[in-house]
Amino acid sequence: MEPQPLKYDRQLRLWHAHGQQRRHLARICLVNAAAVGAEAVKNLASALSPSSPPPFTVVDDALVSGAHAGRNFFLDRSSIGKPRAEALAALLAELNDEVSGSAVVRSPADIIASSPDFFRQFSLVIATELPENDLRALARICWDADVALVVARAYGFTGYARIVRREHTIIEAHRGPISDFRFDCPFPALASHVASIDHTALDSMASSHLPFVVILIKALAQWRASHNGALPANRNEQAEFKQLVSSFKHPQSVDDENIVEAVANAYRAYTPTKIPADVAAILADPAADSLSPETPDFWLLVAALKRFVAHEGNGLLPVAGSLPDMKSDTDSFVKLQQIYRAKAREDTALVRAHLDHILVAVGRSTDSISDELVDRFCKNSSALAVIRYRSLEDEYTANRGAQYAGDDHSNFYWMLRAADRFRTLHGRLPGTDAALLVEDADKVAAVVADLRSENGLPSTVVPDSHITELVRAGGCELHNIAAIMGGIVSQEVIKLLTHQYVPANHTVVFNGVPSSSSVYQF
Amino acid sequence: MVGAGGIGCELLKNLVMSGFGHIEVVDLDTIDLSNLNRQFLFQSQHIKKSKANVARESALRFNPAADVKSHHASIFEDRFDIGWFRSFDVVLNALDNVAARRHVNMMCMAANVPLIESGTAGYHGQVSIHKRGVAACYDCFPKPVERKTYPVCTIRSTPSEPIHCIVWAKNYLYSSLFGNPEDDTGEIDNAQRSETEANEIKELKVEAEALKKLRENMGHADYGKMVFEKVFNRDIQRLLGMDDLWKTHARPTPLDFDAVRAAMAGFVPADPASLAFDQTVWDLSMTVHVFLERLAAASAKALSERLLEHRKADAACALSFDKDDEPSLNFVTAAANLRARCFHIAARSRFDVKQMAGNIIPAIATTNAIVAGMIVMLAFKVLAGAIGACKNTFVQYGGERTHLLSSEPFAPPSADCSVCSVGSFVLRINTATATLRDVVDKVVASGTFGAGSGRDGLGLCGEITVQSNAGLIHDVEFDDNLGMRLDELGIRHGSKLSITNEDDADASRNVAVALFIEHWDTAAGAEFELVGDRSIKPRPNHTHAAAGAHAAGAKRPVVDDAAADPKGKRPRVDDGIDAAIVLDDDADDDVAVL
Repeated sequence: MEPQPLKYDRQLRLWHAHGQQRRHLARICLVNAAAVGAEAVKNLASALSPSSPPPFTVVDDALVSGAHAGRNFFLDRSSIGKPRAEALAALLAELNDEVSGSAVVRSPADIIASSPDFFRQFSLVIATELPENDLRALARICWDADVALVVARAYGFTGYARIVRREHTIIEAHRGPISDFRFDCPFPALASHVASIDHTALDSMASSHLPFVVILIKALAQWRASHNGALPANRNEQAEFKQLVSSFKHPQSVDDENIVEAVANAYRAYTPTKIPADVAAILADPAADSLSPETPDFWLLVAALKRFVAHEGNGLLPVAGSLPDMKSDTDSFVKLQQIYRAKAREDTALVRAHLDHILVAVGRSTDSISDELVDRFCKNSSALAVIRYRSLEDEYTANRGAQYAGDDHSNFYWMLRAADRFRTLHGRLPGTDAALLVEDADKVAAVVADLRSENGLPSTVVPDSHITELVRAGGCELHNIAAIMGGIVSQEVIKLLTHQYVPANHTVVFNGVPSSSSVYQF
Repeated sequence: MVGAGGIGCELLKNLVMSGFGHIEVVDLDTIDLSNLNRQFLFQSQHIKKSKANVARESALRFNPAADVKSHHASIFEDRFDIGWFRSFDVVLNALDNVAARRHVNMMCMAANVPLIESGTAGYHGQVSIHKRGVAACYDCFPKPVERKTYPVCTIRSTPSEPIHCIVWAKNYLYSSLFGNPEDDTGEIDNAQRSETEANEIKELKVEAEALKKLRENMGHADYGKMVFEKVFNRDIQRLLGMDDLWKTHARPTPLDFDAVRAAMAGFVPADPASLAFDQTVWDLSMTVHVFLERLAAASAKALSERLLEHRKADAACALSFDKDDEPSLNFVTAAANLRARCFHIAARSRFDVKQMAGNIIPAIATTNAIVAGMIVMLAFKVLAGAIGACKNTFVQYGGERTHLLSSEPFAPPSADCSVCSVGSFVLRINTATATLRDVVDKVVASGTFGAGSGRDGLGLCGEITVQSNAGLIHDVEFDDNLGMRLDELGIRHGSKLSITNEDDADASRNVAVALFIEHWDTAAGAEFELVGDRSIKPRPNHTHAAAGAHAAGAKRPVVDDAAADPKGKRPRVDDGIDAAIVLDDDADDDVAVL
């Protein structure tokens, strides 16, 4: 069933149809219906379309209490005493009549311990309110099953989100407009088109409509002819080159917008065209070498791209084929656009041919990867991204927090870790017994010091005021902080599900007092 | 809370759940299908109902103890006067258009109430604090131009980009065929122009008149063919005859109706509910099919039929383009693409056309959720009396950026801001008995500058200029209106008078003052009361530029590409998707102006 274009119009504008379709394939599991998780799932439910089995599964054996209803918008008073999972699933379904949520009223700890395969059915698990041991066990299950895990937490005025996924590949990083002009290495059709234009013979009107791309290719060719083929290398030469570009202005021309554009883009002309370093690293990745029927499409495409680069591409990526708006008459612009597009099509067809060979070699049919995907991949080949997240196990056993010593925000991470250990040691969260606030603060301070020293960090950095605040929070979720963290978590989940935009790597720490966040790789 | 849309729904939920005691929600809009995916207080049974009222009901379900009042109304209405704004500790904007943002900002600055402003675009968002005398107001710093304009000749004679064809289809063809015929006469007048341009514009007027005449055939079986042949053949033929135009532009190719129809034999239209219909570029047959369908007689899909139907009730009825109305959007897409074909310009999908015609900013639930939460964080600080501790906060796209959220201190107010640096007063006066002379002589000129209270005047005795909402009503050389009563000048409850004083003898009295009129029914004659802070700071650049005056010295006649909106809202910022999600650091500016 196709999604309804009108209802989802606004996010289609951000993700385009293929992103939306990917979201349809998602099956999401929420472990514990704490407010932060409910908010995240609400944001996702508002935008998800029908699919079967139900896209949301809520696992929770808690019964709704007055306190839950007080901070969780989706649990009202009438649901007090009922299973929290069922109350949330019912309300989510009410939000969007095409979304059905299902509830599993069972202890998450029990499922983690006795039926780990349960989590294999999901594409993504959002976990909240899990004690450290259960969380680590769940993280291991998800890691082994290649299921993405997002840990979400709202605690007093602070929040935390951790993304865990073995590998996340992105074709459409949306890092900004891709500009690919090939000024320094115009392909034959482009070179001959530019050579066919005699700019000295143009009248002032035609001259002022000469696209800056043509001006720069001509100017650079002139420059190289008189500089032994070298590009303008230093500041002086670059300034000289800009002078040369300016000299393309027709003496009678009153409109020099195209010259202004050419000068503004001159730096692109003397920056050599090459493969960006992070894309070169992806091309060199072993994942693109050992190909099998199970190799993900992304890596098969990378393998095809690699062959193109080594052969027809002469060390360069396919031409992107898009041109920005520029001062030009329609004719010249359209001609130029056609030349770039034709080359992009040609390059894409070559990548497609390599891909077909690869697909046949690994025993897959050639139509199992669409032309549209190849097209998109080639267009964005200069902005490909791969993230390999650190496992939670690695983080907990060999923490890299030392690099953030002196960063006040990172202290909140250590305090949340300390709260978890406190819970393991004392069977409750700090600050939950009003008679023991001072004692709890001392104990938390000691746990923070232990944790930090275990991880090779100086133990004295966390300010007392932070610890007092942590104890004061008593493990409580504030609705508004849960709402913000729910927003952040769902935002990152959408990036993970659509494979568009670049999600945070790997821990987001939010501090509500100044309303700011930081991203860490502990 | 002003606005109960994407951010507003989240915000109301957070306020209710965070224990805010008294909340009033204002929103003019009704619920639309495209709101449902992210405005979670609304469900399909609420379509066409008031956003403000439904948001209130939904929020109360979760916290019946909350005191929430809703107003299904425009924030521009008189009842939301300075006194109403003053009754709040803080005003929260969750708006989607610049005009309303500017209005609420002006009212908050005049009422001296803190304002928290917000906006989102895709994965970007921002929240900012504004307070008179403390934090820069929304209008302290100039914003980029809100709307794009195009030379008339580019739109009507020599288009070269898809957007030119879309503007033509929406602003010229749609409004000529279905709109109010009086609407579109002003766009090409009142401008200096070259002789060639003047001649061409004369021709264009003839062309437009002919189209309007053609409109009388609406309902005729061949109406679609008539319009098609006029705009895609005869008008193009006429343009082809003007050799001057085609020296720098490619010559257009007229479309032959019969040839096009012949080629459509056996054509099966695509399903209008499919994704492909929305997202892929229609071929010629599909385009022509849609175009004719909208003009056809006795067809439920036809805009002509709809207009004729409306006219039975109201002869002067007109349609106005609404990007969310499918028949209108389909017509504009088809017409724009047929024109593009004539001019050898690439056709666009309906999805793209909607973006360009409606200036849509993509909105998603997740960013709205974050921004609404940030608004509440600032509101906590404002209510705790710690405005100084507030920071403007930004939600960014993430990626390589190490901070998803960041904050920066607010800027101090601009000393020459035409909104928040002027002295603001509520003038209680009987608009049915007091004259403009009473205002100028008694309210403005009498009294002692910088002192007095209540019944005392402002003591401004230089050269006085008075502007009302309608424009200049009094200055040294223009005193015709002095004898008129305020109500005769259109000044009533809720009106604003902008006064500037130029005093050559004493530069400290070069001040600008805004008087917000409160009609005082029982006051006799010129009796008045003036409420506000008497210590008015002089303006560094004493100009006549009273608040909101924009002088646009366009050399060429322009077509105004305001996204026509039946509710009379101003267009949103003209951000394409790409502009809204450009990842340069500068991109934050795009968000700043939302």
